[in-house]
Amino acid sequence: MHVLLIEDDLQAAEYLVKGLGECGHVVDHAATGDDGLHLAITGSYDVIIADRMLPGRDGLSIVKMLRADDNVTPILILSALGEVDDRVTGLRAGGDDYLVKPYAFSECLARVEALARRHQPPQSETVLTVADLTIDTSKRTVTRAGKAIRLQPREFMLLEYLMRRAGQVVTRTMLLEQVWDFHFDPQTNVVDVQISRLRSKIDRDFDRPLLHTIRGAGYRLSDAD
Amino acid sequence: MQTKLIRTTALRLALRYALVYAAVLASALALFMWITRHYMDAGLEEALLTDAEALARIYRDGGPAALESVLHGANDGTANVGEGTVGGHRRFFVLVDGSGRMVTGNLIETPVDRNEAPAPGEVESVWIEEENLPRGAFEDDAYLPLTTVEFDDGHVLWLAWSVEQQETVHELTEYMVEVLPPAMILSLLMGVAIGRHILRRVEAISEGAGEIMNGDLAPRMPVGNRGDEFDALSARLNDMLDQIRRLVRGMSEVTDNIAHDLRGPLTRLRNRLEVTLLERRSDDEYRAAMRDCIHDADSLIRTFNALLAITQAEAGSRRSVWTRVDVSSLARDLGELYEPLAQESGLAFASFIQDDAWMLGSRHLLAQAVGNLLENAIKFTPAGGRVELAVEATKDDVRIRVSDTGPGIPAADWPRAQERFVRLGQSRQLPGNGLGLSLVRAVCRLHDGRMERGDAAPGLVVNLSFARDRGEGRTQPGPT
Repeated sequence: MHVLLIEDDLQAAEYLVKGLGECGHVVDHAATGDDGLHLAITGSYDVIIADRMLPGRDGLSIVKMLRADDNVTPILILSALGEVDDRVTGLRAGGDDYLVKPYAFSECLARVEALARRHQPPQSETVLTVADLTIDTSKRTVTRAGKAIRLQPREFMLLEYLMRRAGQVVTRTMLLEQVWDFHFDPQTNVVDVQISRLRSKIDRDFDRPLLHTIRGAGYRLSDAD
Repeated sequence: MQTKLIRTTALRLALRYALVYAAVLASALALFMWITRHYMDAGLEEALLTDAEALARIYRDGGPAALESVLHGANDGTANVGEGTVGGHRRFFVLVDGSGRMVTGNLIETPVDRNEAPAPGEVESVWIEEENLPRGAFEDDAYLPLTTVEFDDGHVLWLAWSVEQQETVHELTEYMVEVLPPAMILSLLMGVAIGRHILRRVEAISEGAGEIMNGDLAPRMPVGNRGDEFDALSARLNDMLDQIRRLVRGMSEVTDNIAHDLRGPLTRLRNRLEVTLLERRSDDEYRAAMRDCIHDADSLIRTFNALLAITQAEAGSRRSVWTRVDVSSLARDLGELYEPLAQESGLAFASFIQDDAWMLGSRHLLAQAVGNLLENAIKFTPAGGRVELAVEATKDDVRIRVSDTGPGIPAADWPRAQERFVRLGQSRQLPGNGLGLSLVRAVCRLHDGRMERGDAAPGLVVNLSFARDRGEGRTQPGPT
């Protein structure tokens, strides 16, 4: 995956470039807003990571300009501004996701990969399948190996979220933000418990596990291990 | 920085006022003069014309001599007498012959050129100068009604009357001219007085600010008992100062606490790394050590983030982006989120949530606050206990209640429990950073709400109450 990183903190950038590189991605790095914008316009990337605070041109203005230019490359905005309202501003400017520093690398990685593969499957796709697990979002049904599974509404939302990102790592923070719309850091393992509930319904009584825990990162719904 | 009186806005306003006053007065005067100039009593016009007609008849009957004798004072028995007044109006006249030479009259010359003269039968108000008027007449230049009579032999009689109003106008003008300068001076003096008064009030406030800028946060602005705008300003500034003082104190508390309480975990982290490096270890051992360090670092980061959230909440930032928050729906979502965890911990969980509990605020912060309370309840209540979440909407309030059957917090310990980093009694063994309640308090304060402790006997009850919003505020954006 080809990634553009626009970040003026050289140490943080080096760390990200290295980390993403080791995960198999090719990363271009720009240290100023103008350089970043130039690269973004002239190159073609799967994902752009833009820091909000940059010398010269700031991250949000880059996002706005790209969007005005009909550039639909997914953009992850990094920022030290952590209030939820700043997040809303960032997303409204045209960003696709917003991550607050300090972030765990695994969090950043998970979100970048989620953004890059955002386009499959499209939101309009109502029936999703992973192995023998099927979810029908219009009929609100879940079946595995032909057996119907009854889920609470929130469990259904959780499963749908995981299935739309099947094969990708999804972090606890992502789940809390997207499925529950909560933006705080729980001091307890609330999300883990929710996942294990879901697991007990869709995985436990079946031949192979689909919902995996990825240590230090989050969860992944996939057929492989 | 002292403001000189001369530069005060008050004085400038007073000057402007004085100028406007003078301008108004002057234009009133001009208007008055214009009106009187053009004012012509219709009766007066007619009377003058009648007089002119009568004189014309005398001329036609008796020639210039007859006219002259009438005009200069001989009593001819007709209705009009001589140079005395005609109904109070003095006559000013001149009779000229065909070539414009003066034959007789008491005007020195014709008031205007022949082609500018009023036509016979018409009366016009004409400016006649003092020099042109006879001795003993009206002293000053004035507008007088004038008419002409043309005779067949080419003679022309110019006839004007003195008008009493002119006297009044002149008197009034003089009066106004005399009054204007003192009026302006008075207005200016008033401006100076007002300016000085305001300057004094403003300087009192300015001095107070000066003291504060020197580092002393204690003094407050003087608030009198007039209840005027200066008192209001002072009161506002004092509120602001209280807030600043709270923030400064809060900040220094934070730095104290950071030094005290975070040094431990940081030291532990460092030591772990150092010890690991002391000897050669296996790859797995290194990996394990690094994972533990990441774990420590994560918990430190979480603590920092929580601190940041508290200070942001206390700073009261972002009030401008507050929206209407549906507390009922928020509580339901939180209950849904935490119920599995409660059950996993062997606790019964119940929620009692009324509908339509709306308030103005930050959904994010409120979620965090109630989440903290729920987490505390779940953490500190031993298995077999019960946690409850309730939302109540009364006429004016929205009330949120979290209760548990755990050890509770004694009333005496309640204030301290709300401080940052305070972990009471047995809670020290449990994971956590002691920031939960202080965040709840900060969020409460920010939303102008109340936080109260209750005793569930056994267990803790925390009640939050906020003003209910019934209005037409903005609703929050949905989940992204």
